[in-house]
Amino acid sequence: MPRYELALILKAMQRPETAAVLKRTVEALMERGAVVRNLENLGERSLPYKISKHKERHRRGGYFLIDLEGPPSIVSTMMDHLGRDIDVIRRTFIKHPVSKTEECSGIIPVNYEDKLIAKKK
Amino acid sequence: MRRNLFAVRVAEPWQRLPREVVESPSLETFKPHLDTFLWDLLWVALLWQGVGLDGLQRSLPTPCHPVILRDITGAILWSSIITSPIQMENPYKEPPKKCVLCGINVDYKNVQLLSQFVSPHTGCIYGRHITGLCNKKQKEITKAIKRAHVLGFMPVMFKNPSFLTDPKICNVKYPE
Repeated sequence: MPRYELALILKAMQRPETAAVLKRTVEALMERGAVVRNLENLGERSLPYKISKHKERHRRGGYFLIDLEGPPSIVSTMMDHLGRDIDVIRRTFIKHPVSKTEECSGIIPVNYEDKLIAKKK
Repeated sequence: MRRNLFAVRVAEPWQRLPREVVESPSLETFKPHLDTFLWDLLWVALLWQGVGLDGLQRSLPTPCHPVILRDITGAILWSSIITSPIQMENPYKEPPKKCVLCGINVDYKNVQLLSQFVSPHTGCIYGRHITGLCNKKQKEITKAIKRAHVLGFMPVMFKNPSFLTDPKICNVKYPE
Protein backbone atom coordinates (compact mmCIF):
# COMPACT_ATOMS: atom_id res chain seq x y z
CA MET A 1 0.00 0.00 0.00
CA PRO A 2 1.51 3.35 -0.98
CA ARG A 3 2.68 5.21 2.05
CA TYR A 4 4.06 8.39 0.64
CA GLU A 5 3.66 10.58 -2.36
CA LEU A 6 6.56 12.74 -3.40
CA ALA A 7 5.38 15.85 -5.24
CA LEU A 8 8.38 17.11 -7.14
CA ILE A 9 8.75 20.29 -9.18
CA LEU A 10 11.84 20.26 -11.30
CA LYS A 11 13.49 23.05 -13.23
CA ALA A 12 12.30 23.36 -16.83
CA MET A 13 15.02 21.42 -18.63
CA GLN A 14 15.55 19.36 -21.71
CA ARG A 15 14.36 15.80 -21.72
CA PRO A 16 17.64 13.94 -21.11
CA GLU A 17 18.51 16.18 -18.19
CA THR A 18 15.10 15.73 -16.57
CA ALA A 19 15.47 11.99 -17.03
CA ALA A 20 18.86 12.12 -15.31
CA VAL A 21 17.45 14.03 -12.33
CA LEU A 22 14.59 11.60 -11.92
CA LYS A 23 16.90 8.65 -12.23
CA ARG A 24 19.23 9.83 -9.47
CA THR A 25 16.24 10.74 -7.26
CA VAL A 26 14.73 7.28 -7.60
CA GLU A 27 18.13 5.68 -7.00
CA ALA A 28 18.56 7.72 -3.83
CA LEU A 29 15.13 6.62 -2.68
CA MET A 30 15.88 2.97 -3.33
CA GLU A 31 19.22 3.29 -1.52
CA ARG A 32 17.36 4.35 1.60
CA GLY A 33 15.10 1.33 1.37
CA ALA A 34 12.03 2.67 -0.36
CA VAL A 35 10.00 0.85 -2.96
CA VAL A 36 8.95 3.09 -5.82
CA ARG A 37 5.50 2.15 -7.05
CA ASN A 38 4.74 4.64 -9.73
CA LEU A 39 6.19 7.72 -11.37
CA GLU A 40 3.77 10.14 -12.98
CA ASN A 41 4.52 13.12 -15.15
CA LEU A 42 1.97 15.91 -14.73
CA GLY A 43 3.56 17.85 -17.55
CA GLU A 44 5.64 20.97 -17.80
CA ARG A 45 3.61 24.03 -16.96
CA SER A 46 4.19 27.58 -15.86
CA LEU A 47 4.37 27.87 -12.11
CA PRO A 48 1.47 29.60 -10.31
CA TYR A 49 3.96 32.12 -8.87
CA LYS A 50 7.62 32.85 -9.40
CA ILE A 51 9.74 30.65 -7.17
CA SER A 52 13.29 31.60 -6.22
CA LYS A 53 15.47 28.63 -5.50
CA HIS A 54 19.20 28.05 -5.65
CA LYS A 55 19.89 31.64 -6.76
CA GLU A 56 17.48 31.42 -9.67
CA ARG A 57 14.00 32.77 -10.34
CA HIS A 58 11.88 30.07 -11.92
CA ARG A 59 8.74 30.65 -13.99
CA ARG A 60 8.23 27.23 -15.54
CA GLY A 61 8.70 23.78 -14.12
CA GLY A 62 8.13 20.10 -14.70
CA TYR A 63 5.68 18.49 -12.26
CA PHE A 64 6.31 14.91 -11.20
CA LEU A 65 4.62 12.57 -8.76
CA ILE A 66 6.32 9.56 -7.20
CA ASP A 67 4.28 6.97 -5.28
CA LEU A 68 6.55 5.20 -2.89
CA GLU A 69 6.46 2.90 0.10
CA GLY A 70 9.13 3.30 2.62
CA PRO A 71 10.18 3.67 6.24
CA PRO A 72 9.23 6.95 7.98
CA SER A 73 12.92 7.80 8.49
CA ILE A 74 13.23 8.31 4.75
CA VAL A 75 11.33 11.58 4.83
CA SER A 76 13.85 13.77 6.62
CA THR A 77 16.87 12.27 4.86
CA MET A 78 15.33 12.63 1.43
CA MET A 79 14.20 16.19 2.05
CA ASP A 80 17.77 16.98 2.99
CA HIS A 81 19.13 15.24 -0.06
CA LEU A 82 16.73 16.87 -2.48
CA GLY A 83 17.34 20.25 -0.91
CA ARG A 84 20.94 20.05 -2.07
CA ASP A 85 19.92 19.17 -5.64
CA ILE A 86 20.05 22.32 -7.78
CA ASP A 87 17.51 21.11 -10.31
CA VAL A 88 14.73 20.52 -7.79
CA ILE A 89 12.58 23.59 -7.22
CA ARG A 90 10.10 22.17 -4.72
CA ARG A 91 9.96 18.85 -2.97
CA THR A 92 7.24 17.60 -0.63
CA PHE A 93 6.43 14.29 0.99
CA ILE A 94 2.74 13.66 1.51
CA LYS A 95 0.99 10.68 3.04
CA HIS A 96 -0.57 8.92 0.12
CA PRO A 97 -4.14 10.19 -0.17
CA VAL A 98 -6.51 7.26 0.07
CA SER A 99 -9.17 8.02 -2.51
CA LYS A 100 -12.19 7.36 -0.36
CA THR A 101 -15.34 7.86 -2.34
CA GLU A 102 -17.56 6.60 0.43
CA GLU A 103 -21.26 7.03 0.06
CA CYS A 104 -21.87 10.47 1.36
CA SER A 105 -25.06 10.44 3.39
CA GLY A 106 -25.92 13.97 2.40
CA ILE A 107 -26.51 17.06 4.49
CA ILE A 108 -28.17 15.99 7.73
CA PRO A 109 -30.21 18.91 9.11
CA VAL A 110 -28.71 20.01 12.42
CA ASN A 111 -31.00 21.01 15.23
CA TYR A 112 -29.48 24.28 16.39
CA GLU A 113 -31.85 24.69 19.32
CA ASP A 114 -30.51 21.61 21.04
CA LYS A 115 -26.93 22.75 20.56
CA LEU A 116 -27.74 26.10 22.08
CA ILE A 117 -29.47 24.65 25.14
CA ALA A 118 -26.60 22.21 25.75
CA LYS A 119 -24.07 25.07 25.68
CA LYS A 120 -26.11 27.11 28.18
CA LYS A 121 -25.70 24.36 30.76
CA MET B 1 -53.16 -8.69 28.97
CA ARG B 2 -55.54 -6.01 28.02
CA ARG B 3 -56.20 -7.90 24.81
CA ASN B 4 -57.85 -10.76 26.72
CA LEU B 5 -60.44 -8.63 28.48
CA PHE B 6 -64.00 -9.22 27.33
CA ALA B 7 -64.44 -5.51 26.83
CA VAL B 8 -61.66 -5.47 24.27
CA ARG B 9 -62.04 -8.88 22.70
CA VAL B 10 -65.76 -8.81 22.10
CA ALA B 11 -67.14 -5.34 22.65
CA GLU B 12 -64.96 -3.58 20.07
CA PRO B 13 -65.81 -5.85 17.11
CA TRP B 14 -69.45 -5.95 18.28
CA GLN B 15 -69.69 -2.19 17.90
CA ARG B 16 -68.42 -2.48 14.36
CA LEU B 17 -71.07 -4.94 13.20
CA PRO B 18 -73.99 -3.55 11.20
CA ARG B 19 -77.34 -3.03 12.91
CA GLU B 20 -78.96 -5.84 10.97
CA VAL B 21 -76.58 -8.39 12.47
CA VAL B 22 -76.69 -6.99 15.97
CA GLU B 23 -80.48 -6.86 16.13
CA SER B 24 -81.04 -10.45 15.01
CA PRO B 25 -83.89 -11.91 17.07
CA SER B 26 -82.29 -15.28 17.74
CA LEU B 27 -78.97 -17.08 17.72
CA GLU B 28 -79.98 -19.06 14.64
CA THR B 29 -80.53 -15.91 12.59
CA PHE B 30 -77.54 -14.12 14.10
CA LYS B 31 -75.10 -16.74 12.91
CA PRO B 32 -75.92 -16.64 9.18
CA HIS B 33 -76.18 -12.85 9.26
CA LEU B 34 -72.73 -12.66 10.83
CA ASP B 35 -71.40 -15.11 8.27
CA THR B 36 -72.63 -13.12 5.31
CA PHE B 37 -71.34 -9.89 6.79
CA LEU B 38 -67.91 -11.34 7.53
CA TRP B 39 -67.76 -12.92 4.09
CA ASP B 40 -68.49 -9.58 2.45
CA LEU B 41 -65.90 -7.91 4.60
CA LEU B 42 -63.38 -10.62 3.73
CA TRP B 43 -63.98 -10.00 0.02
CA VAL B 44 -63.41 -6.29 0.51
CA ALA B 45 -60.34 -6.75 2.67
CA LEU B 46 -58.73 -9.19 0.27
CA LEU B 47 -59.59 -7.04 -2.72
CA TRP B 48 -57.93 -4.18 -0.96
CA GLN B 49 -54.86 -6.25 -0.27
CA GLY B 50 -54.69 -7.31 -3.89
CA VAL B 51 -55.34 -11.04 -3.57
CA GLY B 52 -56.81 -12.67 -6.65
CA LEU B 53 -60.42 -13.50 -6.00
CA ASP B 54 -60.79 -16.28 -8.56
CA GLY B 55 -58.44 -18.51 -6.64
CA LEU B 56 -60.19 -17.61 -3.43
CA GLN B 57 -63.60 -18.54 -4.76
CA ARG B 58 -62.39 -21.97 -5.67
CA SER B 59 -60.47 -22.55 -2.48
CA LEU B 60 -62.93 -21.28 0.12
CA PRO B 61 -66.44 -22.56 -0.37
CA THR B 62 -69.12 -20.18 0.87
CA PRO B 63 -70.77 -20.70 4.26
CA CYS B 64 -69.88 -24.37 4.40
CA HIS B 65 -67.59 -24.09 7.42
CA PRO B 66 -68.84 -21.03 9.21
CA VAL B 67 -66.73 -21.44 12.30
CA ILE B 68 -63.49 -21.68 10.37
CA LEU B 69 -64.55 -18.85 8.13
CA ARG B 70 -65.32 -16.70 11.11
CA ASP B 71 -61.94 -17.38 12.63
CA ILE B 72 -60.13 -16.65 9.38
CA THR B 73 -62.03 -13.50 8.74
CA GLY B 74 -61.63 -12.43 12.32
CA ALA B 75 -57.89 -12.85 12.09
CA ILE B 76 -57.63 -11.11 8.74
CA LEU B 77 -59.94 -8.30 9.62
CA TRP B 78 -58.25 -7.65 12.88
CA SER B 79 -55.12 -6.96 10.93
CA SER B 80 -56.76 -5.27 7.98
CA ILE B 81 -59.23 -2.93 9.64
CA ILE B 82 -57.14 -0.05 10.72
CA THR B 83 -58.52 1.78 13.69
CA SER B 84 -55.30 3.35 14.87
CA PRO B 85 -52.44 4.43 12.58
CA ILE B 86 -49.83 1.79 11.80
CA GLN B 87 -46.38 2.87 12.83
CA MET B 88 -44.26 3.07 9.72
CA GLU B 89 -41.45 5.12 8.32
CA ASN B 90 -42.61 8.21 6.47
CA PRO B 91 -43.14 6.92 2.89
CA TYR B 92 -42.96 10.43 1.49
CA LYS B 93 -39.63 11.17 3.06
CA GLU B 94 -37.33 12.97 0.68
CA PRO B 95 -33.80 11.65 0.28
CA PRO B 96 -31.31 13.77 2.23
CA LYS B 97 -30.03 16.78 0.34
CA LYS B 98 -26.59 16.37 -1.07
CA CYS B 99 -24.02 19.06 -1.57
CA VAL B 100 -22.28 19.55 -4.92
CA LEU B 101 -19.27 17.46 -3.99
CA CYS B 102 -21.06 14.54 -2.34
CA GLY B 103 -19.37 11.43 -3.66
CA ILE B 104 -16.55 13.28 -5.46
CA ASN B 105 -12.99 12.71 -4.28
CA VAL B 106 -11.22 15.98 -3.49
CA ASP B 107 -7.49 16.09 -4.36
CA TYR B 108 -4.91 18.84 -4.06
CA LYS B 109 -3.73 18.05 -7.59
CA ASN B 110 -7.15 18.77 -9.10
CA VAL B 111 -6.54 22.49 -9.44
CA GLN B 112 -9.53 23.17 -11.68
CA LEU B 113 -11.95 21.75 -9.14
CA LEU B 114 -10.34 23.67 -6.32
CA SER B 115 -10.35 26.92 -8.29
CA GLN B 116 -14.12 26.80 -8.53
CA PHE B 117 -14.35 27.56 -4.80
CA VAL B 118 -11.95 30.47 -4.92
CA SER B 119 -12.64 34.12 -5.66
CA PRO B 120 -11.49 35.19 -9.14
CA HIS B 121 -10.49 38.64 -7.93
CA THR B 122 -8.55 37.98 -4.74
CA GLY B 123 -8.02 34.23 -4.68
CA CYS B 124 -9.77 33.96 -1.30
CA ILE B 125 -11.41 30.68 -0.40
CA TYR B 126 -15.18 31.10 -0.24
CA GLY B 127 -16.95 30.37 3.00
CA ARG B 128 -19.56 27.70 3.68
CA HIS B 129 -22.47 30.07 3.23
CA ILE B 130 -21.35 30.81 -0.32
CA THR B 131 -20.20 27.43 -1.54
CA GLY B 132 -23.13 25.53 0.00
CA LEU B 133 -21.01 22.50 0.82
CA CYS B 134 -21.49 20.18 3.76
CA ASN B 135 -19.04 20.49 6.67
CA LYS B 136 -16.91 17.54 5.69
CA LYS B 137 -16.40 18.60 2.09
CA GLN B 138 -15.78 22.24 2.96
CA LYS B 139 -13.00 21.17 5.31
CA GLU B 140 -11.54 18.87 2.69
CA ILE B 141 -11.60 21.60 0.06
CA THR B 142 -9.96 24.15 2.36
CA LYS B 143 -7.19 21.73 3.29
CA ALA B 144 -6.62 20.79 -0.35
CA ILE B 145 -6.48 24.43 -1.49
CA LYS B 146 -3.99 25.40 1.20
CA ARG B 147 -1.89 22.37 0.33
CA ALA B 148 -1.99 23.23 -3.37
CA HIS B 149 -0.85 26.78 -2.52
CA VAL B 150 2.18 25.56 -0.62
CA LEU B 151 3.20 22.86 -3.05
CA GLY B 152 3.16 25.21 -6.02
CA PHE B 153 0.11 23.84 -7.83
CA MET B 154 -2.34 26.69 -7.44
CA PRO B 155 -1.90 30.46 -7.48
CA VAL B 156 -2.55 32.23 -4.19
CA MET B 157 -3.48 35.83 -4.93
CA PHE B 158 -5.73 35.25 -7.92
CA LYS B 159 -7.59 32.56 -9.81
CA ASN B 160 -5.87 30.84 -12.69
CA PRO B 161 -7.07 32.74 -15.81
CA SER B 162 -7.70 29.57 -17.81
CA PHE B 163 -10.31 28.53 -15.20
CA LEU B 164 -12.24 31.81 -15.23
CA THR B 165 -14.86 30.53 -17.67
CA ASP B 166 -15.70 27.47 -15.57
CA PRO B 167 -19.32 26.95 -14.50
CA LYS B 168 -20.14 28.88 -11.35
CA ILE B 169 -20.94 26.75 -8.33
CA CYS B 170 -20.79 29.43 -5.68
CA ASN B 171 -23.44 32.12 -5.71
CA VAL B 172 -21.68 35.07 -4.19
CA LYS B 173 -24.59 37.49 -4.47
CA TYR B 174 -27.25 35.32 -2.86
CA PRO B 175 -25.54 33.27 -0.15
CA GLU B 176 -27.76 30.74 1.58
